[in-house]
Amino acid sequence: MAASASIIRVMGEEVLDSRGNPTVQVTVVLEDGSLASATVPSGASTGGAEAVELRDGDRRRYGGKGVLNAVRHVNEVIGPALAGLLADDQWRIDAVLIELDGTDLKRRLGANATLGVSLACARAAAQACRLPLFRYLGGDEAHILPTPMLNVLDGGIHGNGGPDLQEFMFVPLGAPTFREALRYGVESYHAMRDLLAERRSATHVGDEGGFVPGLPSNGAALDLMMQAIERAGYRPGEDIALALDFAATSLWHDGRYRLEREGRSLSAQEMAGLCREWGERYPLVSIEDPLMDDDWDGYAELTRELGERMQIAGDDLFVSNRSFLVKGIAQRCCNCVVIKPNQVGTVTETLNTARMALAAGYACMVAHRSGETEDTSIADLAVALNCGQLKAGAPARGERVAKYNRLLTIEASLGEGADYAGRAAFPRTR
Amino acid sequence: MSNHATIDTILADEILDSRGNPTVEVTVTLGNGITASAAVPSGASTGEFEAVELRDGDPRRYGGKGVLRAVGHVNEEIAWALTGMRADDQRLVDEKLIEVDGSGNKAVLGANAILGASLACAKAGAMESGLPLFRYLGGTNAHLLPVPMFNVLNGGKHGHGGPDVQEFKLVPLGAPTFREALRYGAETYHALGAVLADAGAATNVGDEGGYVPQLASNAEAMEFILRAIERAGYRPGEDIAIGIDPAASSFYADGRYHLSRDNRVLTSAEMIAYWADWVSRYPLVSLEDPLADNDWEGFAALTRELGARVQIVGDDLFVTNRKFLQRGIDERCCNSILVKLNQIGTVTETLDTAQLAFSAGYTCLVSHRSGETEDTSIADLAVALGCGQIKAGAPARGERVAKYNRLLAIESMLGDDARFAGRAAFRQLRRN
Repeated sequence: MAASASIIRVMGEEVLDSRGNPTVQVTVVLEDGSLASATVPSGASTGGAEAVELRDGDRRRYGGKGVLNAVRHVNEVIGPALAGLLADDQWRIDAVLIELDGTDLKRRLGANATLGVSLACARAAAQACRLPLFRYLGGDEAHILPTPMLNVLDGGIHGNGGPDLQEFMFVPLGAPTFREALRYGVESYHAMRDLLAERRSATHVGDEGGFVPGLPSNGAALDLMMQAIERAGYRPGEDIALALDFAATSLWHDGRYRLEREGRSLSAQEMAGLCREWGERYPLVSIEDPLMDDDWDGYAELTRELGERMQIAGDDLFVSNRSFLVKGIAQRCCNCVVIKPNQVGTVTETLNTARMALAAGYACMVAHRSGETEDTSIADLAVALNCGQLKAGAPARGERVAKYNRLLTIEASLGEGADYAGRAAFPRTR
Repeated sequence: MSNHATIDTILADEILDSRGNPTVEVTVTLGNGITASAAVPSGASTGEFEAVELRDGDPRRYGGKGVLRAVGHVNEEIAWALTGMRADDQRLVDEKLIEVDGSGNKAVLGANAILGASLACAKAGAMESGLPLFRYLGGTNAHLLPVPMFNVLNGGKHGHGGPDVQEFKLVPLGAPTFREALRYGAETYHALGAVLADAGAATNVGDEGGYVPQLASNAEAMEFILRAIERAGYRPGEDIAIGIDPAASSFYADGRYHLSRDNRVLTSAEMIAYWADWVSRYPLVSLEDPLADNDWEGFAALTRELGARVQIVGDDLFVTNRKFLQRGIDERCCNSILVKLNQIGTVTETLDTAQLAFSAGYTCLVSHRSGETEDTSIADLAVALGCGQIKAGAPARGERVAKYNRLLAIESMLGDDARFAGRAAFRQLRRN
């Protein structure tokens, strides 16, 4: 690598995310003229122990959701502290961010400020090194295109009026390449739209691009997924499998999991039973957050019972945080970690969590948030980690499609060197 | 300008748009290594006379909507024709594209192939000059930030189950800057979400990010919007006005306008009276495609009656085509034209159409399509034209927000030189 460039300017700005809420965009300029920006996503379903997204709370602007304080922290606190540092010293940059903040959950500067800076530095350095971001972050070995997990039905708090469970996903693991996987997914997504239109159900979309039909039960949603796959000409299980995100913390009422659509409430054991039953009836390869985010014992039991048959992904449980993951590994909770950079707030910490998970035999699923932007870093991150799984919403809505389009570009740029993860991303279902 | 780099390679790819339909992305590389990409949008409500978007028609891929043929045309015919040309010779590049196509409506190569190449060349030319796209296209005087028209409530083809009128738009013309206009719009959009949720209506969104409630009548949609403006703390008409796009061709059949939500069937004259009533009842500043695209006489009558009070925009009527616009000017139909790059297919022709409109005293409203991508060229185009108006959907969905975020960046970049068009964008308001 040629003499690496140092940081000369760091600028924050308030822009809007895909829900029309303010978010932070950071632009970093290096002495060699490299200039790169990153924009931070925002979740609606946030785990209690996530790094803190700093909002102004000034009701006169954006109903309190403005991010001018976080932007000011970028311009006035972080910028001066990073000036002169080498942009490719990501570890050091992130250490400075953590130290400047000084709290456990980035409460002071805001994880939206720190992540924006951390990511923009990574991008600028990648540019200075003339490497695509995935190669810069992941090194020479980064070549595995992830199996996309495409959200086709939105429910819970992401889809007003839809099913109880938050996400119903197509997983086109039987495709030969990412490009074909995307096509499988899109065609099935459009087949779902046609099915819904025939049933006179609305085909408008939720925050992540999935349809939000009113259905009598969550099982009916799964049946509809199977029909859509077949209608598009694919074989459920062989070509396209299914995945679910329960977001069970939001189902928790009075000590039980309430499935409002079905008019019943389940205990933790009954939830495990439901997962097992669905695992037998449907080609289900991954279930995410099937239990409350503090039910470690329940997770250990569920993992004992189902962990050899399907992927059990922890999102709210781990919030991409190493210390929770350490606990999860010790207690054998889940066998997959959902990786979201804004849950921890720096690139280095995100990579550390993922590396630890992979080393412990856990799978990693890189994920978007419900409030996204045109920033495509998570697509690069998934390839950098070679982890084989990315969930970035439906193949609709520009902020979702941008990630998939980025993967098309990465696959094309890798040429013969590209490998599509496909079924291998889900070793537990082989 | 000396030693300008020439076009070295042109490479297209099939990517997806915001509806998950394939579209064309073109990347141009110049001899000095500069590369720029452009992605092409796609409309659902397409005027009959638009330039042709080439789709494969192969039912085995994307239900026939693949664009591999258009991609092939870029990689072969277009690449052969443009390699070696200077990227900053936009006019020559576009003339060459039109010549190679040879069909008059871009049916041979596809307007999606042609526009991708045309836009990518413009972006590469801008990069080579070291200028932002809006300055490169619009010159040193490009400094006017457009009033955004936020489509917050969808009906018609874009939102099945909603009102007949396709778009109800918030027009924050009373804001002091674009940044504030965006805030007015976003807050009101969220207030509308809350108003609809209170009324028990769903708040999932249509193709352009607007809500799509089931409503009893078209007027009820208006009432919801007025309530949302007030709930967000703004004054209807003063801070935020309203624009509508009925896309009337979509409910025109057998010489009549069929308003299914209102349970009424109207003649052209009755339709005009309907809109006249709306103009007097609501703070309406812009009326787009209020009549069907072959009802030229109706448009002339409507413009005579309402043209001094409200902006009447021709979209399906003009399809960004000079020829149709000239007819409109001659017959005094409309006083504004909707400008969509992909209706005509090249940057040069788009600028030429806008030029003709300005010289005839028409306003221009730069517009997105219902199928969009993260490409933000239209934001730059609106500033380049200095036309003062853009419609790019609700302040939601990444492909829409990207355009508004780009305008935030342009406004910051211009600093003290930036001016927000505000009320002045609407000529009819100035007269009053």
